[in-house]
Amino acid sequence: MQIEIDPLSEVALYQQLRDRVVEGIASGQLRVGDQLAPVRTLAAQFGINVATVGKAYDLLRSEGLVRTNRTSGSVVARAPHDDGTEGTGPAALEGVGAWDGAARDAWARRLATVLAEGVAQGEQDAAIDATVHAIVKSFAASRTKLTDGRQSQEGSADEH
Amino acid sequence: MSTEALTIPLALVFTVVAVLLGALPAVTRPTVPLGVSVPASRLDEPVIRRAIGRFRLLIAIAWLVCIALLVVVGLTAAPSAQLLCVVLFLIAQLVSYVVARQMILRAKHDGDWYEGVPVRMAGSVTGPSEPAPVPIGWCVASGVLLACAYVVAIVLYPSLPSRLPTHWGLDGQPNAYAAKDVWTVFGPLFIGTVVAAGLFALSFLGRIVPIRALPGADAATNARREHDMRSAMSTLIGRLMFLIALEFTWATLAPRLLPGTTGVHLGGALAVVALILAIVVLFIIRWRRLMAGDARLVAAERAARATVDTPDDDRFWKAGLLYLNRDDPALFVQRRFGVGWTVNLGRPGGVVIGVVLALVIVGVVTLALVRSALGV
Repeated sequence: MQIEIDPLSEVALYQQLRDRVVEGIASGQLRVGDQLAPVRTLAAQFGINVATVGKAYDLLRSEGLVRTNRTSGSVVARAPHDDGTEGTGPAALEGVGAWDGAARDAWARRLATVLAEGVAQGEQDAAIDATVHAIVKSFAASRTKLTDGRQSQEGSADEH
Repeated sequence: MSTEALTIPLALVFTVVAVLLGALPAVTRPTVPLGVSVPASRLDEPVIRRAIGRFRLLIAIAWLVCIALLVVVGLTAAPSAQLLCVVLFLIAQLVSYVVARQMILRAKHDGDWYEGVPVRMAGSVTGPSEPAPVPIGWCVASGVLLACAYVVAIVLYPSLPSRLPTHWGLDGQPNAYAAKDVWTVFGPLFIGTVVAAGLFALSFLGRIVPIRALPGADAATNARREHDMRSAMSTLIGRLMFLIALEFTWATLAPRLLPGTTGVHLGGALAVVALILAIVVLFIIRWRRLMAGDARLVAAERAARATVDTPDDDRFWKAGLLYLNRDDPALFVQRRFGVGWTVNLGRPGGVVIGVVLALVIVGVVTLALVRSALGV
């Protein structure tokens, strides 16, 4: 999966890397078991410090989204929960526990800040609801599209 | 060897070098004209075209002056003075480049070209989708050719006379002999083997050198672009490997298998050199097409929506030629001006490789010049 980062942004590079990977998982571009590029390779692609990429991977690991071991490198460890959708694979690698309660609280607080911006700027509650709904739906739609694409690819591969 | 005899080959080398240098702007990525990072929105600035024109003009003037000097020196001065001509030629070419790119640098600085231009760096978090090509076919062909040459040379060895010609004058008559030993018979083959092996190693380097993706272009386009660049390089290296193996095989076997036909030896050797030049020209045309593709991509991107540019990384490129970035873990990166790779001098390993490479090049050139100047 290709990502873009902005070297001039106020957001730290490691944070941007982490954010793009999280979005990749949510939109189904990264699936459980998908391998992430080794830290050095990724750093060389962007020409940035190895420590920056390492920090992003550390963050993803601490969030339980990525797991690293000696043999297979860093792999995506968790997937979005899709009710009733077949062929999406396991929702998480074996041994990956449920989302930590404290981490979830922290996420809720960050979300509260972001939503507060909209409220403070005078956005209607319904409009905020619609925006949030649209974002979540777009992730689900992207996942469905990618899963269908893969299934039809596998189907055509089976016919040969 | 007389001084005049050295003048002609040197003049030829000067000409080839000057022509190749003049062609470099055509094979340089569109957004780094003369090694200066430029945003896509400024690619049509007249100063860029003018600077490239100036670069070619200065190259041509330097070439003309050095050729004239070479002729004068060849007629009047000692052979060692021709060494000075070579040094002068190289310095003059470098100065042409620095002076011409200064025009773009000044315009870019005065006009604040990157002011408000959004920049992005693109890359793939899942790594490459397919392995990079290696010229395995050409490598096998070169290996087989060299192996055959060794077998033939070994079979011939006992029947060769005890004194062998090792150097031929322009009139085609041998003018130097040496006692028969392993080096006089197999020497060129050894050199050919080492060079071919070095090129094969270089093709592996071509697999790991990161090729930075174009921001704004989609993943499939970037993957195709990367694959095209790598396979162009790989093909060039493979063909060169084979032709160099062929050249040294010919140099080893032709005088032994076809004694007394020096014209044929020289003709064959020159034919292979001509083929090598043809391969280089073909590569330049292919690379030129790739760069034109890049330019089209950037233009289409700009027409479709607001551009995102690659960041201005001039500060990492000393004179647009030497790469020094302490943060970048890559030991080798793509060159900025022209085609190929260069080391990252911001890494200790890069400094070591850079120094060794520089010493080897200077050593080989000096040795070759001194040897031919002394007529050894």
